[in-house]
Amino acid sequence: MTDRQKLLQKIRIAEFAVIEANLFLDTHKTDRTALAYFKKHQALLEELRDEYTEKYGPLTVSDVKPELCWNWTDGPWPWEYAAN
Amino acid sequence: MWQYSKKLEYPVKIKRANPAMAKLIISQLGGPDGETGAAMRYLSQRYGMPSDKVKGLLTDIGTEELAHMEIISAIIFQLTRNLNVDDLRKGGFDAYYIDHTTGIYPVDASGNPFSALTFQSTGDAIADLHEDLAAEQKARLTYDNILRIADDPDVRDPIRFLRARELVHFQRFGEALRITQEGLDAKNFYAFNPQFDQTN
Repeated sequence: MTDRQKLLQKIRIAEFAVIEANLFLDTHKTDRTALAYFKKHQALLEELRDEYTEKYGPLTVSDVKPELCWNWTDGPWPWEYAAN
Repeated sequence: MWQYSKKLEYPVKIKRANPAMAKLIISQLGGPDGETGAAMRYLSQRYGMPSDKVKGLLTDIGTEELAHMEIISAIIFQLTRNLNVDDLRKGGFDAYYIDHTTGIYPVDASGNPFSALTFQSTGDAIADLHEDLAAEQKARLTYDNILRIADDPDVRDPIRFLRARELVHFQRFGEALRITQEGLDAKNFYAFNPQFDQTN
């Protein structure tokens, strides 16, 4: 596994926690434990995404930092063997 | 609106091509209980839901189903890499190949294209949420069927993740049904058409 793949996997893990808490909170909107869990993983996810964007490029178009070249379309794309 | 996130929700890294397996798993893209139908179902049903919580839940689960379409598509894409004519024939993938080469097209395991007739959007929250509970169970059992046949650990791993998501969604839809029923007029004992008969 490359360093990029390792960091991407950390992002997936943090984002999975956020998705799972998101769905739970949709039906339990005042659950304090879930709210704290969401907040913690949301902060971690943001930190990891910033690190990834800085090192390897954007994960969303909102993260693109247009300078000399448009890097949004750079591969590998997510469904390709090399991306995972 | 939506914004694309350039990664899979769960990684797919399949070393060995297997067109016969692709032909079965593609049912979870274009089949009667697949991820395309799931996404279309929830994203269609959400508009008139009486509860804001349930509007949110259908939006969020519908969005996750789009990510699951992408995972299944990635599995099919990687299972059909670098095939020769002999592989296509032996894997029973030759009929699909004639129509689509190795492009990703939503069909079921028997080759029927995806149909919106596999789901409903009734304008009745109670009816729709019961369908959603059943849909999660049907997707779960389809993954169970796939897991009985698939022996490659590279394939089993993402399929097991998707199976587990069906269980969580089922749980959340159960809560959504309870929330919806609690919000009905107590006199509406049989929970008939709560959307149409109320002014918004």
